[in-house]
Amino acid sequence: MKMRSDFVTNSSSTAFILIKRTGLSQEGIRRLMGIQDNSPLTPIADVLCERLQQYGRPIDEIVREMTERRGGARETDEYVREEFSGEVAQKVAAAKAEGVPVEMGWLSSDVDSVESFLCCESFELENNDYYLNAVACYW
Amino acid sequence: MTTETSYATGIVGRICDCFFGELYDLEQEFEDFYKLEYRSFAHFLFWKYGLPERTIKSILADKTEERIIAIGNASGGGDYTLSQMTDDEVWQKLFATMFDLDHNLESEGEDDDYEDEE
Repeated sequence: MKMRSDFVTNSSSTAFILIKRTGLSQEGIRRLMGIQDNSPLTPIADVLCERLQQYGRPIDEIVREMTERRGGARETDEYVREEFSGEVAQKVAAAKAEGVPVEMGWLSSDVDSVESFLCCESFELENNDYYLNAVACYW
Repeated sequence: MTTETSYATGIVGRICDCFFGELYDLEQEFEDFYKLEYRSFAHFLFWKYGLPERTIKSILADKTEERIIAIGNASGGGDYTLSQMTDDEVWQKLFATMFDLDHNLESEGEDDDYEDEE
């Protein structure tokens, strides 16, 4: 039996897919979440916006890198179908076909309290500007 | 604060559940079970729940017939992510706005009115 004597943490991450029909903005993410102006919830939306900007990278690039590391490159469509759902894969494929940017990234439970909260959430949000899927929460 | 049926409305609902889901009336608890054990309700709050003296005095000074003093378990509903965040300024501001919290609840001080042994 192995015993660990240092700090032991229980961290988590939640993968997200973001389809951007328009550029990311704080106002846009507030609208997506349904947060009105001057609401005390705006800092949560603003942190989400910041982290989407920080972590989001083109989905094809991420899937290629990640699946190569795991032993075999896979197509984005196949990956999204397995890790998210067929419906999400269709949305991603349709967006890519239209030339709409599709990004992917991960929210972590180890950064700060707002990101940790969002990481532990499981949500899917959509309006005319964005589609954000962060359902794959394994917390 | 939020638009109806939005994701943000769900967050607000879960925050309310987190704080109010398992509340119970402390005065009722005192009356029913602890009245003989503690000298007063204030002593009960101090010794059983460990509230600072100035906080107790502030709570009792604001107490009216319409207000109850309640205690809950923020992680009682199983959503312990929110209960862990109460120290963070972003969440404190949100909770304060949602619940119209009184920020004058002093918790510092050297008062020792309740420190005599029961």
